[in-house]
Amino acid sequence: MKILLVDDESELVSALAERLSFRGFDADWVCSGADAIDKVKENEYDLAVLDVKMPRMSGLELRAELNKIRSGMKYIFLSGHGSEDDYKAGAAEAECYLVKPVKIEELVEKINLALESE
Amino acid sequence: MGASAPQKDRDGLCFFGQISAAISHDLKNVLAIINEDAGLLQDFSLMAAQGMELDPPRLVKLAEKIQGQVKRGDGIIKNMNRFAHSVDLPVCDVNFRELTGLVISLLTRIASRKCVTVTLKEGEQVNGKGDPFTIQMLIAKALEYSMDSAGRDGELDIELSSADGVNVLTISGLSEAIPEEQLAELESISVKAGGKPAYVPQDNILIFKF
Repeated sequence: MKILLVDDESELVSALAERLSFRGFDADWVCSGADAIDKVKENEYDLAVLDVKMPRMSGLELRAELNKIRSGMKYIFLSGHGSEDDYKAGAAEAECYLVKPVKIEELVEKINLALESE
Repeated sequence: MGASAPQKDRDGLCFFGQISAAISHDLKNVLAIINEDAGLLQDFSLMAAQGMELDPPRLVKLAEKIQGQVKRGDGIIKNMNRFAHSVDLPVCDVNFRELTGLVISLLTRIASRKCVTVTLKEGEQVNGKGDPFTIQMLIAKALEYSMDSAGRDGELDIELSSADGVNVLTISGLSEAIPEEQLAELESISVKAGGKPAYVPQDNILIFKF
């Protein structure tokens, strides 16, 4: 299972990618929407974990762009913000919405659930 | 008491809320990174218990990363504390350079979201009397509107100077004209802060005199 992690906090996504790799996931990470688009053009990912609030392109905007490139991808949104608007938008459009800091077990469970629903 | 008094209080409260929300977002990120780095240490420990060899330099690097995030969180909380205490006295001695630096730090996330770089130019200390909270609100609002005017990849420079007992704060690097209603709002806050704003469209600068 190939996963892409996108968050402007590089220390966060790099550690998360390593921890997911220990749990059997092939995880790549990038720090911007533009880099995520390049990665998805180059590779076939099953799922992307996207930060909701990023400079230049929000997680929701990025999801719309990635859908144009690969329509079958699943998404999980991460946010440190936890505002009601974000939650409503995320819950309505994403397979799942988690608020930082997340428990790795919970993220793994949500990834598996999202991929099982294919 | 007219209807404007509660509105005035609400403007300040909204500003306080906006800054507090940005701070909470930054702190959430700091905690999330510490959480993952601590999680990695836990993963390494569990793997070591199963026979995997530990890599001491890697552990040292991880510990340094956690310390770095604690330092980052401490800086955010110090700024938060200075901002929170700015409401203690309505009028007091004000260090405009220090106050401007604080507002720029507090707006880092907003600047990053709007893809604008804000630079406080080196210069003399500029001191005076004023209401620190209202002055911060004025600088923050002026910066936000200037960021919108500068647009993506814009660069704003802030200069502070003092001459003949008048303190001057100049924001340059604006691009599109600032809308009338925003200028009126800045004028209104500026009056409360004891200042006087001027917008020079042809030079793309916004000036406040205190």
